[in-house]
Amino acid sequence: MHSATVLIGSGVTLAVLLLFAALGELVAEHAGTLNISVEAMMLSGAYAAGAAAHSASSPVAGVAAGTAAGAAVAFIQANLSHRAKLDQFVVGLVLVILVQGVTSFLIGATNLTVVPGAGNLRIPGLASIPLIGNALFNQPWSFYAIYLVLPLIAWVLYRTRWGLEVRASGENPGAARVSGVDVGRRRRGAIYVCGLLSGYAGAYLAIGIVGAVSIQMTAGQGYIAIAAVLLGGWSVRGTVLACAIFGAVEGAAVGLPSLGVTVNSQLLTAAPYLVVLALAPLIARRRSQPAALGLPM
Amino acid sequence: MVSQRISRVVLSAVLLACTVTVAFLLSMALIALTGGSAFGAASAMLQGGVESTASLMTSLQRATPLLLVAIGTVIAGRAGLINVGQEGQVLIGATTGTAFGVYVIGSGWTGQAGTLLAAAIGGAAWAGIAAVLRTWARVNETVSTLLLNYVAVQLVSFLVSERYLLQAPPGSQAISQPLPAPDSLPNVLTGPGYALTSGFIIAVLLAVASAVLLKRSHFGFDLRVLGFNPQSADTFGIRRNRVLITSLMASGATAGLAGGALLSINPGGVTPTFSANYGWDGLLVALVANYQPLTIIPVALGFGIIRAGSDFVVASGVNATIAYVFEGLIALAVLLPTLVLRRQVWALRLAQAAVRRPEKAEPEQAAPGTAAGTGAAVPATPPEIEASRDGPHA
Repeated sequence: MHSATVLIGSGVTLAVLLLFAALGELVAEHAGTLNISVEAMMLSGAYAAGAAAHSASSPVAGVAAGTAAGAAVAFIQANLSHRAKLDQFVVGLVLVILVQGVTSFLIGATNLTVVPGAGNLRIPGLASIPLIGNALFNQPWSFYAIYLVLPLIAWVLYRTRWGLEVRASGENPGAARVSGVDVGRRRRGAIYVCGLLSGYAGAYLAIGIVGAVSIQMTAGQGYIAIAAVLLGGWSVRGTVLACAIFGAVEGAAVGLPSLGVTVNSQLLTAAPYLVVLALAPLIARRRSQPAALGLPM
Repeated sequence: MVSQRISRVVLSAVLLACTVTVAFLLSMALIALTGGSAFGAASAMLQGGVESTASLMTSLQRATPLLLVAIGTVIAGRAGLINVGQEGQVLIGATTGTAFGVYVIGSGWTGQAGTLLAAAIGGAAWAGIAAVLRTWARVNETVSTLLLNYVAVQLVSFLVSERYLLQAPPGSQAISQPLPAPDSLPNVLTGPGYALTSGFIIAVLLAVASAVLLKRSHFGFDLRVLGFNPQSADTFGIRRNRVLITSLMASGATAGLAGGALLSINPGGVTPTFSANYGWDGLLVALVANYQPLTIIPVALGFGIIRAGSDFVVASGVNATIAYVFEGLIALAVLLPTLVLRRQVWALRLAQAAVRRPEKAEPEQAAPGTAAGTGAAVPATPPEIEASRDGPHA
């Protein structure tokens, strides 16, 4: 296969992993919440997907279980931080540590490693487009949900009443409340969306990409997804672009050694984090973030 | 007011005991569900953590890095900075300490002191990157410290994989040369089968010193002003950037020092996973202690017992990662009582307001949305002041 095709293929695979989680976090951040528990949602999603797919020997059941597990973590985060009013950052951090512990323990205790993979689903015709066809239309079946989720999130966030109320809760919660918006409820709802999508991302990672479950397999992808939202300037288009950049960098880290190009492997692994750090000053200069981001109601 | 305070303390103690018990039972249930022996694991945890003098000393040894990390976390937290880069700072500290021991002075008290100092400087420098990004480019320190953790792992992985840098001579493993004299601190208490290094004593003294620093010194005042109200810091003539950089780097320095202390716990050489969650757990200690510089001492001790106990749990056939589950549940268990307490305090205030100003005690005042207004009607303690006493992250 052509080397550019390989690189673009692995780049798109990983970019979409980030994009599922980042779109969820985008909704949550528009509601003014900053969940660092995205990492926990992804990790629990990955584990639950692997465990369910393994025991039911059905990848579909796995994806469903992964999505539900992400939502379960979101339920805890949302209710502790936006109903019970605990500090959202502290709750997120504790959830990350707890989920890392629980999944590591369960993986160690159950010897669950290999997950029945689904294999690639090739869309005939479209996959024959040169250069990008293979990357966009010859992927695991769980990949294709992105073609539905991406426009759906853009529509919900900017074209529905619910999306307007979510954004109002993030920009000016006081004014939103005076206008009759239940800010806490909208924020919780936005976190549930984030949990569903991040859980799905974890399931896609375990079943679609890796075909196995391992300890701490998300390895900070959740944080990269948060960084993608920041880097994308809180817009759908920007988030897609940022995920594409990170996906390309991560894809290069995976793809280059198999193509015989020798680049320092540690540098390649650290590259996405270094890219975020290098671009962070540019993001910080912009003023497009939701005004009440991270502030409690 | 005093009796009220006592009843609050009693209530919180009772609630805490309940939630911690639930956390414990949940961990045991998890073990039982996965086919392990819950009772065996619990008794092994106690055996390894507290049963004998030797196991208590091991617990103290494990508590030392946790306490050191927590000290720095509290200092940065008081300045309103959320440092989550301890894991990387611990790892970098261990690496710079090893580099000093291997390449500069390896033995004698100068070697030991130099190793610890180099570790602290390494951690401070790593946190300094985030501090500089924050002051020069307004990059949120939470994001930058978080990401630097992952960069630190790769940097150390590189340093310990190259023979001309730090890799140990035989083989091609990613492990550094060990320190020439790994027992980096003298023992203060020795007996049959146990020894207490001075590390724990030093860590406790540092915790007390930081408590005094935060409460009584000019620098501590500057920190608290910056943390509670950054705008008023200008009014006080506080140089914001300077305080910010100093506190974040101090936080990195204690985390680096924790890495130096780890060198005497695991003398085999530094690997990319050398920090073994000590950074995250130290952060958890500070959160559980609600950023109180003296409360972190017993909390760190408790977490040290869990860690020392989990080594024994492995022998009972249960995966050692149960310690992380338990720690996470404990952290949740400690967070929950503050909720109930806060509710109770609100109810008390509303009741007081209703008694003092009966004509104003209309039904809608009970709604949480108007609670701030009701609080203002009580001249004694407005809720904002009460809330601010609980620390920046209450």
